[in-house]
Amino acid sequence: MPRSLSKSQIDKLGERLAAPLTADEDLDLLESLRSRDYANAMSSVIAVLRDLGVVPGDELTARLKTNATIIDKLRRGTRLSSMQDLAGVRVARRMPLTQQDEFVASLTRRFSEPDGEPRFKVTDRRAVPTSGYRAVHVIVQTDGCPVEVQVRTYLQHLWANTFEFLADRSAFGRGIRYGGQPARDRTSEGHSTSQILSSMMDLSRELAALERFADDTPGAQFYVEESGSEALATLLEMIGETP
Amino acid sequence: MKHFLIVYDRPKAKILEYREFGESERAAASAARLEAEKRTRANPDVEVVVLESDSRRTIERTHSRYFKTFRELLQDIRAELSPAAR
Repeated sequence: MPRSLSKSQIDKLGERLAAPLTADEDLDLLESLRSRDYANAMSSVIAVLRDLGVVPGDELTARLKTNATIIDKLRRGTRLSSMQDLAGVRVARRMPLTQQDEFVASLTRRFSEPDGEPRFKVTDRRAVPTSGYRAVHVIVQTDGCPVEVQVRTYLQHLWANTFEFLADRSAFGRGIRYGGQPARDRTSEGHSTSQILSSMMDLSRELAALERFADDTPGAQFYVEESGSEALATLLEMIGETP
Repeated sequence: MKHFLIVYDRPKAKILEYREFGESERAAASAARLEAEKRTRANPDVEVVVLESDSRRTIERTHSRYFKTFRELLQDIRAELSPAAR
């Protein structure tokens, strides 16, 4: 099913939505674009993921970006038609890095045309993490809409959730997701925010190293068991938890 | 897939509203989200989202930041690194 608005109509809508006063009819149009076109595209992608063997026990959740976040992003200068994460699906699975690669390859095969342009774009945030965030993001095009699929191993996923939690706290602020410094020096419990942030970055690197080691070395779980993670021990100690 | 409406106060780390909708209730979930967005528009600290998943248990894990404390999130990482997780 093709998209109900053309690219230029979508961008004109985006320009109107970015204006300080938003007309109700434009909000309704955005709502209809989201809940019809993008929701249908998201359902198609979920069906593909199920077909690729994502089962209960693996963790799959989908969401559409909220109108407020979309408008906020438009006001910061992004074009509506170029927003790639209006619709998103997150898959977290206990898997080694090689399996993560295989999963991404199977997904992109489903969005490849034998003689045409590929209908996907892969961003491997494991190679160059964004503020410590590691995962593979695949933007697939379906029914004329982009859908972002976040493919995460379980360790990548646990780290990301913990980091997102911190970014929600006013002592840290959303800016830490883009490399910014914490908004305040201390948390309400009196912990140093820069120390926590720095340990979170160390933890990301340590978990990456553990995953690479586990991928390369048979029996690597013994390494994980024996050495654990220094950064995690530091963080647990900071909040008064016995490591 | 079911639909889960979450209205979340970010700085307070508190779920203000939580509602579940059945598989065939996507439109109702969207309407409830829109209504919540209009209600909370003045407060940028409040996040309104509808998640689509098979169960509450799954969203508690895929979006654990809405449900857990920093301590619990770190404990999850520690548990994942322990031999019992493997």
